[in-house]
Amino acid sequence: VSVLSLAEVRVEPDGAALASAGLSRPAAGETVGAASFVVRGWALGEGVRALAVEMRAAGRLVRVAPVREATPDIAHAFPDRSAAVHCGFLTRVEARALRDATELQLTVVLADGGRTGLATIGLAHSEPAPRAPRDPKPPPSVRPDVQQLALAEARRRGVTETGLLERVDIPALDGVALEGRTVLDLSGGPGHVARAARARGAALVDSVHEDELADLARLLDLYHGTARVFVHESLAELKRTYDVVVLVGREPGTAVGQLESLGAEVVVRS
Amino acid sequence: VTAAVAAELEQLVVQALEVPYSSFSATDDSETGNRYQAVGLGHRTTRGLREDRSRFLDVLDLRGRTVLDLGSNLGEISREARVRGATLVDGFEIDPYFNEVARLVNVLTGTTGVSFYERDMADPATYAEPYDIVLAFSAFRFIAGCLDRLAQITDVMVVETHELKGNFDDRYLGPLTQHFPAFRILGESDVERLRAAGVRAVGVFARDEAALVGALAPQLRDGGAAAAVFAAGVRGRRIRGAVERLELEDTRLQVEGWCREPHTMHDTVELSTAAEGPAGGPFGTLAVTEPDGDGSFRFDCEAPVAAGDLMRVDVSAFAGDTGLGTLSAYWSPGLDQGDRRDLTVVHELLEPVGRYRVLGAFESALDCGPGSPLPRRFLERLVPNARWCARDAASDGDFDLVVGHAVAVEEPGMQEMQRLTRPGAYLVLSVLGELARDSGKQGLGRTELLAACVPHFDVLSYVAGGVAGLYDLIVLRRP
Repeated sequence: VSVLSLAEVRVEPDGAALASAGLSRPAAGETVGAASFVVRGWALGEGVRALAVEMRAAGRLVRVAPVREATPDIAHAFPDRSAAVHCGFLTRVEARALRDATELQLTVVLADGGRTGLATIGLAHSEPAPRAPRDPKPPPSVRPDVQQLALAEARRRGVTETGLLERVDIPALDGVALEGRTVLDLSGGPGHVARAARARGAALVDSVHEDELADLARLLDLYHGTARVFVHESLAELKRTYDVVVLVGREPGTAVGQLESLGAEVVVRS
Repeated sequence: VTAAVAAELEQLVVQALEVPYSSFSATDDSETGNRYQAVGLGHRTTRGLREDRSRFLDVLDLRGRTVLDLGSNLGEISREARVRGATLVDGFEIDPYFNEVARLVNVLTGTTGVSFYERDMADPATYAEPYDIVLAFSAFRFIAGCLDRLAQITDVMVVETHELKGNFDDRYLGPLTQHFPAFRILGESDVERLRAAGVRAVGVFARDEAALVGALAPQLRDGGAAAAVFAAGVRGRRIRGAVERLELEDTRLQVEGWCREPHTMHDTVELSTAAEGPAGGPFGTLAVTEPDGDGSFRFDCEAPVAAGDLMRVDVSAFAGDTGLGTLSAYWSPGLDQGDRRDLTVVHELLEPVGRYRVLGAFESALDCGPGSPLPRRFLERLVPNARWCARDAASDGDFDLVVGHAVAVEEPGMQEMQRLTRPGAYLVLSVLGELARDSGKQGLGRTELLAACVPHFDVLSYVAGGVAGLYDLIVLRRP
């Protein structure tokens, strides 16, 4: 199987027949490493509706793409034309169908049976390089973006950034039996206590933040990929009772009697 | 979350979904992309490859339950389980990027109680904690070797098969019922993808009948409401019509006919085929046209396909980008138009059964249609190894397949069908039903039809207008 390069993409719609047309994929220079590639674009007829895009290689019909994908940008540009709302097309072309072909020609089929040219994709075939292991690249990650969001939120809330992204253990939890237990954390802040309780084996941690740092705690949970730590902004959101209630580093804002109604064991540490 | 953070998170999710990315399974190298699931973002839903399957959760009682979602992808089914009252939902997904996006969506949508773990569901050691219900949507190939372990951590599994290829009994029911012998079929998924390729079945499998009943939504627990269980899986094509002319000569294909959806006017008609194209796979769309005012259509197009002895063409009606329904027609060399119509009826009846069990595996078949039975030569061609029998010569417990076109379905008749069939037998019937009603004819309502069937059979599929563009199709399996 040869490697297919999409050497050139020439978009040359007939302005008399098409009010607007183009290709968003593929891009010139793209190399097809997979068995197929995506062809995506739009075609808005001038007076006559565009129904489909035919794709031919070496004179053979290889694919027909219906014109019906939503195109909000085109609809915005042509607000008086109802056909502009759904004038997109999207399909996959199998590389195997293009063997020996040097061009893939795209033609728009109009509702009156007429046809008009849209684009030509130049094809180049080459011998494949020795097969490399699949995708040696690591998967993409949103973690750097989440980090930026967390730091921005910390600045908005006046929280110091130093050490904010580190996993913090909480010595005040020493001696508290957490393994396999459900925990309610009322410590608030950026959620260090909740994450530490979970890291110490808590089955789950609900943490309540009445201090405007709930979003920061959520973003830090995202950053760390934390599981079973759930951030709430009010005690009223809670639907369960707990084995342990912890409150570390701040005065209880809630009466001890109320805390005892939430959990079997209440731990308050300064 | 605050509006400012929500806006930033939504932008991040949208960007993450636009990155061209696929995850490849270590088990079988199968590919799953980051557009597999549609994702609800609160005020809008992104477009995904799979249809919304949360309707299957509506027939379960998830309130107060712990749930494990296997192959959680972008977490949509996990979140839907939580919305329906599950107290704690864990999703196992081997791909770290999918998990990151799933967690972003959790925060964006204010979801709590749902967590995602980077876990290999094909490894029995993955399963440590007990769960009330385990969901395995389109994950069976990965968990097939872990069913004994899963039976140790849960009493109830909800399983969506992969694309059915005549392997429902052998690949799914056999292994699952070894560990979870009580089961109900909830219906089919991906039927809405118009050309019915890739249809899958969804069922609840439980350790025993009590666990099964306990997993079902309260209003569905008594037998009388069993029809509603299936209602979750019902999808209808709801399109009337006929292909009245179909000619294939070399690569020139001419198709004429008409179609009408009872409630929505369509603005395009698409002709497609699963016949092999120049690339080796199904060709797909061949042409698109606009219908006439009365719904009639004409195609005269190239069809560079390997038609062989039999080719199916599908005619699908669209309003904008919404598919309204599909009609199918079959071409075979040397047949006249009347024969082709009969051939089409036989195929439309039997293809949905063939998804569950290969037609060549049936041994004893009954044609129970009234009046003029279906052309025996076509039945024998499609079900080649069965001994075919008419209703007046049928014996009790004899049949593993029953086919009936234009039958009247009523409770006494279904009792008789139960008597005539073996356990595990399949029935496929066409009736004048809801589509006929919508067209002003006398027809049996879906609820009445299902009520007659469910005391005796599991309902696998129901397609309004599934046969000859007028009759409703129902596929049943005897427990």
